[in-house]
Amino acid sequence: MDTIIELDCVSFSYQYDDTGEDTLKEVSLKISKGEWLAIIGPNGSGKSTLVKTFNGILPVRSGRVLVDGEVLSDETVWEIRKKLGMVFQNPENQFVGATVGDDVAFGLENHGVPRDEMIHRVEKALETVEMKEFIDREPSSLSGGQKQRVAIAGILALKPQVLVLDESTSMLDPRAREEIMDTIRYIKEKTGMTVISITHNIDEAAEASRIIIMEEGRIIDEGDSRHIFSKGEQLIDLGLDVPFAERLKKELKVQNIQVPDDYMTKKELRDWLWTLNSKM
Amino acid sequence: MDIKLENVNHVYNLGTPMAVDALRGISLMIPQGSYTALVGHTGSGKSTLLQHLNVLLKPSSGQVILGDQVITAKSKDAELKSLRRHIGTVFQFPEAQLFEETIVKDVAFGPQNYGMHQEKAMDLAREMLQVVGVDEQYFNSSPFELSGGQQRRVAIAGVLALEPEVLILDEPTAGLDPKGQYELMSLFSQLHKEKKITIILATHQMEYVAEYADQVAVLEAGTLVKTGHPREIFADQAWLKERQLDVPEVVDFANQLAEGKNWSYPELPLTIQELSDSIAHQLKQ
Repeated sequence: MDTIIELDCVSFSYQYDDTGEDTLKEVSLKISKGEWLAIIGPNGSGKSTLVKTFNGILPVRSGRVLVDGEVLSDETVWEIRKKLGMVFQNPENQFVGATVGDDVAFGLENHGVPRDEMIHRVEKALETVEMKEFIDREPSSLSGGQKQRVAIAGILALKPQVLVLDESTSMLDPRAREEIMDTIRYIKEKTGMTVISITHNIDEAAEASRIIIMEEGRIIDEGDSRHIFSKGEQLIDLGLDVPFAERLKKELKVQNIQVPDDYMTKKELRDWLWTLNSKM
Repeated sequence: MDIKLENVNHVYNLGTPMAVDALRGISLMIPQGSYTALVGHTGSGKSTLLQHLNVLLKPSSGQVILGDQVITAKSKDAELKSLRRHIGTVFQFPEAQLFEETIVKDVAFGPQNYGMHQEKAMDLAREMLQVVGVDEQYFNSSPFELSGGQQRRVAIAGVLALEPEVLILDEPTAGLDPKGQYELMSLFSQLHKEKKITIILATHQMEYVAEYADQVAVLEAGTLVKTGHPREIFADQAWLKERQLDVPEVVDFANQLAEGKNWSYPELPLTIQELSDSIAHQLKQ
């Protein structure tokens, strides 16, 4: 598959960081077009820093960043930024327009998109996130989940190739979180966009086709959810929760029930227990 | 102190065209030393209800009884101030309220504001910072140099420094990673058990409700639709589902298992331990 983002031995340090230690230490990573990548890791491990090097919000100290085959540089940064859209954690901090429609149009105005085209794109983006009937509403009348959907629409309107979600659901209630996940799934299915999500939520990480784990500025492991979730208790220190089935298995072992060591989903564990019960 | 709400109604912007009924006919008893969970969707009235308990709002009609004080629409604001000291509130994202030069000063601000001598307040602040698990080496740091999780602990220490009898928690773990969430919820549980503090928790996380609460109140559109022990509330998964409310994963899994042949539970398990016990029991039969 084609590579959309490539990091080649990237190091980064915040200038005011007086510990002198790099926040990113020689990170190399390839992200394929159309992939859904989750990034997990404890607080301060460099997850947000990593994604901010993708479009030059944070310029790397050494190493190379390539987006869609082009090396990130002063010359290419503006073109590259059009290809990546980011949604952050706090829905309150991302609203700039007086109405939902204005907010979505903000990015397009910045890029000098002609008015007719702009109206069309704003409507289409709001349609995708199911917020079209809110186009004339003020931001203060929206819930947190609705605000995040508007933020996503603002990015979709710019037609990027990659959508980066930096803990975008962590401040939302479960219903709003589920709405956002539905929206992302829908976008993914419809456009095949590459999705990169930083998350502490296990259900969100489970959606990804690949998970990478960061610790102290390095990628320390990667794999599919089955591989990552089999780490059990270790996951707590990596900023995730232990999957329910793994927690239950641990308790069952205490009861001398010989559950398999391999990672099991809830359904697999349920079926296994049913089978065991029928043999008793 | 016991807390009692009797037929409490609250209308925002009363007497204007923008009037909104936020609470309707709420009656609820919160005994001293209990752990009560408030659940319901965003906009169901949880925060409005909490603001009656810490007397930031007065009922439009009905009464709120805190210990031996009765609060009605007519209560004078001056009477309420001394009550607030006994009822500590951890708002959502309380770290947004940190402002002092050092974290010790920030925590000492509340008690000093209530007239405590500076030195005594600083001692109390140090003690409370230890209770919430902030390391001594940070005591003289600016709150803004700390991580989000640490900042939240400092803000909570500031509430505890007022030595409240009642602790109101509005979604206290929102935005923290799972480790931070566990640590904070264990801290509240410890305060509840050791200091006998009454806890009132508004949350969307049903796992906390199952694990810690001895009473649950379910709010819907400003009305109290059900009150009971978590076991009673979670026993009716269909009723909760109708309201788009979740059950804890433990209950969901237990219900799924019970759909199989020959499964039954003497009582609905609420925690992983209870679930594992009942599975073991089932398999031995």
